[in-house]
Amino acid sequence: MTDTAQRVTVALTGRGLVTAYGLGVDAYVRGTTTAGGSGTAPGPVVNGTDPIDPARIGATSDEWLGLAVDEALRESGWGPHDGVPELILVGQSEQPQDDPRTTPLYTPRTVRSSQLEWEAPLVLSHACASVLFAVDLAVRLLADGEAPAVLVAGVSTCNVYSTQSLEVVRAVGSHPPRPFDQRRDGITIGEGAGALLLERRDDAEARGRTADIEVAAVVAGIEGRSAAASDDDVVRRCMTEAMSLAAVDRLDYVHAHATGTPQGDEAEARAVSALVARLGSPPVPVSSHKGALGHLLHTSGFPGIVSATVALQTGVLPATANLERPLDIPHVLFPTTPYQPEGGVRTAMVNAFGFGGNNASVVLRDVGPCDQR
Amino acid sequence: MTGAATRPPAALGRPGEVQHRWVVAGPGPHVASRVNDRVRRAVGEQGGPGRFDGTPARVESVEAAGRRITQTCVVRAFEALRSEHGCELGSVELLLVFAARYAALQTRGLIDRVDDPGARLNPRISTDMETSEPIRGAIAELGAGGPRGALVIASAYDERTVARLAPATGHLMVMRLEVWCGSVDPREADVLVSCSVSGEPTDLPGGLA
Repeated sequence: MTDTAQRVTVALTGRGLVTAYGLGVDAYVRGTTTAGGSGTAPGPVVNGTDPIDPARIGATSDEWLGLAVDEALRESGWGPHDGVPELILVGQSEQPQDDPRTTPLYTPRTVRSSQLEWEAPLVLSHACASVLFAVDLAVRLLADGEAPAVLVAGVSTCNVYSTQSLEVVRAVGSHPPRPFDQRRDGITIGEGAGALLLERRDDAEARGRTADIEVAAVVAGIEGRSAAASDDDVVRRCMTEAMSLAAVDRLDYVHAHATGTPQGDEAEARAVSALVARLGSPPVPVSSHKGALGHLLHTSGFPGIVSATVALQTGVLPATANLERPLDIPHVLFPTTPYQPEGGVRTAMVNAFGFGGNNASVVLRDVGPCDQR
Repeated sequence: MTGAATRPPAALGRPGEVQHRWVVAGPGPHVASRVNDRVRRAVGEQGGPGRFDGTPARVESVEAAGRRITQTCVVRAFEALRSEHGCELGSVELLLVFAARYAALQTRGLIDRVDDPGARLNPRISTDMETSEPIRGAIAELGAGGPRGALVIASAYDERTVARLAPATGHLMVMRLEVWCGSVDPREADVLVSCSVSGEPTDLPGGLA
């Protein structure tokens, strides 16, 4: 596990998202805080090889990455005059020179937004925890003061390779997915894209931007006893270290990795339970976007982080869609409808775990004035 | 397995300065055969200070490693580097793994298998596709002595990134996980593991200086 966030104060100033709910963060927030996220009606989950209808959301999948990048830059007020942010793409592998095939498993060699273009970006590959590992790398790169900002981006589209890869390890479940539900039986693969712009908080404020969402800690590491199964002890240690590094004694919300698998969801919930018991705090609400969106695999961290930032900004916690009979685990609450906790939401954790021993937790903190909410 | 030091151990340089020490590990005795040419072919054209200079610090020939060939090569490379530098891997704050060719080969292995109607997919193809898997296996095998953190870059070795991370990281180890045969089956690929280190000697246990 690494501890990068202590050296530099990094703010998350831009977010972009394409999901089954449509283009943009707002479409996702509307979807997950109304009917689709209430737990009483299924969200627009993409079912494995049944992709998002381009006509419904107004863009084809080859446009998603650029659109997500554009939205993140727009939200942060980043223009070409601010320079070119370092780009980290998340994915399985960059396109090899000697393989001309086009496949969603290969990341593009060129990324274009409406105003900027990147050639041969860094590609980070940490399975379903890739986005959080990329945030870790972003914080490290920002520490040296050379990069004006770091953009983390990626796109995941349904394809037969990912589906069969998960089917062969018997991780795919029935539709719809039910994270944290007693009837959960596996992953439903979703698709979408995301982008996050990270910069030093001082730099963001010097640009005249509000930088209220601080990356308080990142813990990311390769560890575990199994190639595919979550390791309870490792998951608990990952979260505990993140809380310790963030130097916070309050945890208001956990956006879980929970994909709907019997083993993984329970291991994560028990790890949160142990963490909350150790903190000696009241039960902590835990939810997962994968009930609504399915599992976006390498890019699943984007809706996770966006969910947590929205909770910090609005004080409203999202529910887990399709959750009807929650696990019975102490110290943990599983909201089935969105709700606003009385004490507000100042600190949130986002988890991501993946095959190959990838484990990561990010602690986000709202450092804006309290009276804005 | 066999191992032979071909260059005397070297101390680390200034804090933040990256010292490149190549450790080559591969399956079977043939890893030592024409190793210089093969390594040059795999990494040499990328240039820069990390360029292979023709003399590996160690060549590790790994025998009968079976399906865990890459993991075993990584472990041997770790152990060889520990021996070379006298450093404890547990003090390595960040292991930066560059694995462009390796990741692409593993990914292609899955694609080819799925596209071939006569082929059968097995769970190992799925789990081994993640480059982190042999790193996880190696860290687990080393126990408490493994590196504390790791980042897997599935794109080409990037000297600038290494140079930027070195000053900001207490003890950095850079590993290049390469393959030098163009086999379509990842299990038939030879594996090149090379490591470089950077760090503040006085910060570290184990007598780096």
